Parts: sequence; structure tokens; C-alpha cells
Amino acid sequence: MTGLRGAVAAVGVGETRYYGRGRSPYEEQRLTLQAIVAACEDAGLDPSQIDGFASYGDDHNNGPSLVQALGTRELRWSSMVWGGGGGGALAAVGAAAAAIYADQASTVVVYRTICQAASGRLQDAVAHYGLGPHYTQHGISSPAQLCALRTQRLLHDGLPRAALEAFVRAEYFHAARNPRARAFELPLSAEAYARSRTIVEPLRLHDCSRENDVSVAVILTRADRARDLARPPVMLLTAAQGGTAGESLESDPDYVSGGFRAIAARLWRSSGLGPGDVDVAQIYDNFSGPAVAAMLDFGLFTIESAAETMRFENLIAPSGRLPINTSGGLIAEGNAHGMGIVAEAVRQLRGDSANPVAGAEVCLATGGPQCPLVSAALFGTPSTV
Amino acid sequence: MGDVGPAKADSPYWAHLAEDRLTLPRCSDCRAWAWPARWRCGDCGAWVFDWEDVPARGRVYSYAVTQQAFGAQGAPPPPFVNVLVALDAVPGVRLLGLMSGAGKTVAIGDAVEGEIVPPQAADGLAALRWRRARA
Repeated sequence: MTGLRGAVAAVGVGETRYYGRGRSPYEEQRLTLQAIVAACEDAGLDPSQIDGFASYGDDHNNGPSLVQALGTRELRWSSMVWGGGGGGALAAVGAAAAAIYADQASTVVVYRTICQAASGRLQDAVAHYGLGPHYTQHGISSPAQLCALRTQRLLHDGLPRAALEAFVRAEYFHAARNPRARAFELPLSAEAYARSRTIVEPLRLHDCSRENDVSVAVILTRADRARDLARPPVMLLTAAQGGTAGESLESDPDYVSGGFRAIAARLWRSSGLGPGDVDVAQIYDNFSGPAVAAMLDFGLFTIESAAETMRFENLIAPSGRLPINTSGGLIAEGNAHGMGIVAEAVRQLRGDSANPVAGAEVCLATGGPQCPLVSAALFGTPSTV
Repeated sequence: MGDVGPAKADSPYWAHLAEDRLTLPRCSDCRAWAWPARWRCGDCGAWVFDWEDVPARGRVYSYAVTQQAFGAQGAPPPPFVNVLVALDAVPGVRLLGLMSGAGKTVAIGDAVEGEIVPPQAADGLAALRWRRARA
């Protein structure tokens, strides 16, 4: 068991609208502040009480740049997880929790802002973390191409294509009921999925995450403080970051995996839980193939059980046994490099998700499959601590 | 080479490729292949690597067909086929490349051979292209 279990709680979530790509009327620092203030209002905290900041993916909005506008009296923590995409999403949650647990800060906001006009989906950061000349010399400059290569091999190794379709359609089902989602009121039929144009074979348009502008923030604080705030606290049970492949990249011995196998083992060991205890999962879905690969890593299904588990009806709330991405995920709600699904994990466990899972007590959230650093966390209701 | 500043761990790869040689680094001490290139052997701690010539032959480990332009400098117009090739001569090492010729006539497990295309752009970097191996 880890000392973190039950020591830190998520107490507030906030986000801006998911604007279309490059359509945000505000620059990203303002979006960031709006999301943080919204999360504070949700929690019943004054923004000046934030004394720590944690982000990832080379977010441009560091802690010191925000304290004047928030009224922070004393900045106590500001940390960045390396990595170009969403691999660090739950690592940033873990860093915030570690800071709180070690009394380095009392109330830490974890956040991510994407403004395509300013950051171009952080193409510069993505390039910096691997897509150098060993890729661009071959016409490869997008994570879609690399994830397509891995997905192709995973399908060759036995994953049924129908598992990707079920995953994506479940996300669209949830997004259609989530007013925040880019795909609100836009469910996806099997026929429409099959007709969708190919971006990089085997990935179709609907297998790919969204392009948009947004900021999402989640506030963590000590569990004993959380009980006096506005919302039911959601407990962090455990978090882990890292991996075993490092920058072995395309020579990764575990090429088709999501990269989570070691982290999954650590999460189960430190929490005393297992895949059967997960009531609902928020799986980082840059693309459908890597997301489904991550589910395999966590033992949520096996290639052999894919036909049974990875069915649309089984993956949707409220009736499915394994509801996934109940906000719609990066593919159908919108892409905040994973902070959107962290916010959804919190909403789901305190009961205000747009797609509630009755009686859900444990939620898995993952960040960034198939990149050199990945992360994951388990959240629980107070009854799980 | 197009590089500015001190050499990087993989600079010999590009220098040799521009001389029409495919080479990969091998630890001078424990003889482990070390790809992607790194400065120090994580297995034995040695800092010296021998860049050995490697036959550009292997099997398709995976492939992807890009249908949409993403804007990589020098990328061919879509559709184009990328292959990830598991080298016959170097266990555990896979190299990316473009498949020569139009059409998606490639499958996982196909035997392929590479040819080196001389530097064509201002960056001075050569490139590997793959085609089906002749029987």
C-alpha cells in the first residue's frame, strides 16, 4: 500500500469551452486562468488559495506566470513533467499529490491548455521529443502515422478491428449526451464509422483525437481539508509514471503495447486493487488503437476475450459492464491532452457526469499511450479509502 | 551534415548514410547493438561504439499508408507507404523508411531490401528507401 492512498483528494474541476481549432477568442494564458478559476468555483475555494501548479507536455503557462492574476499569496510549488503529448497527464497529478503529501504545497492545480494558434498542437514540442530526421526523412511528421504503424501490427497480432469500432462508438455515444463535447448530439453509427475517410491506414478520421482549443484544470488538496469544501471529494488512490521502453521508439520490444505494463503492475500493487475492481475507465485516446492497447496493458480485456468485452453495448454507461471515456474522451469530447478525462474521472466518482455509472467507486485514468513516458492513476470514492 | 554544434550520438549514422553505407552502432566492449544511438552503453557502461556496416535487408514488421498530407519537409504527396523493417542481421532493431513505388502492395512479413537515396535537400541528409526483395 502506498502512503498516498486517501491522503489527497480532487476537489474541483473546471474547463473553458472546447473551441474549434484556432478559434479561441482568447490567448492561452487567459484560457488557463479561466479554467483554474472555474475549478476554484466548483470546489468552493478562492483562487488566491492556490499555492501550487503542475502541468506537462511543455505547457506554456508556468506557475509564476499565473500567480498575479490568481492572487496567490505565496507560490510554493511549480512543476513540469517532460514529454511532448499527454503521457504526463497523470504524472502531473502524481507530482501535485506528492507535493501535497510532503507538505510542499497545500492546494495544487493541475492543468493543460491547448491553443492551436499559439502552439500548433505543440508540433514543436512533439518534434523535439522524437520526430527528428529519422522520421521526417520518410515523410513522417505526425503521431497519427506512428500510432497507425503500431495499430497495424496490433491488428496483425490478433486484435479484432471491431474492438476499435466499439471503442470509438462508445465514446461518441457518451459525447452525444455531454453538452461540453464537440460531438454533443452527434452519435456515430457503425455505418458512418465504416464510411469515414482514412487518415493513415488503418486509422480512419473517427479513430483520431480532436483538434481544438481548450483549457482544463483539476484542483487537488489534502483529504482532511477537502471535507469542508463544496463538492464531495474524490480520493486519489495511487498514481504512477514512467515506463520500461524509454526512447527505444520503433525498436521497442513491446511495440504493440500501450507502454503501461510496468505501470499497471505498480498501480495494482500499490492499491491492492486489480482490473476487476475498475468500475469505469477514462483511457487516453490520442487514437483508438493505442487506447485499446492501453486497455490490454491494464488487463481490462485480453485478445482472447476481445469479442466479448470490446462490444459497444459493454463499453457504454449506464448499462455496460466496463464503461469507458464517459465524457467522450479526446476523440469525441475534445482534446485537452488528457486533462479532460481526468476531470471526467472526478465527475464520475462524485456523481455529476453526463453519463453516470451507478455505484461507481473506482475509476482508472491513463495518460499518453505509446510514447516514451506514460502515466496512470486510480481514483476512488471516499468509501474506498 | 547540416548539423550545427557538437556531434550528436547519431551523427555517424547520417555521415555514413551520405557515403552510401548503412551502419549501426555496436558497443565496443560488450558488443550489444545500441539503436537508437546513445552516448553510453546502458548494459556495460562503455562510451565507445563501433559503427558496423549492416545489410539493408529485413522483413516488414508493420506498415502504414498515409492518405493525408501532414507537412513533413520532403514528404511525397499522399498516398505513400511507410514500412517498419526488422533487420535480418541485427536482432531487435527496426528501421523506418518509405516504400518505393506507388500502391499498397506490402504486407507484414514481406522480405524487403533497402537502397540509400543520396542527400537531396539543404539538410544534407540521405534517406533509406525500401522495396520488395528480389526472389
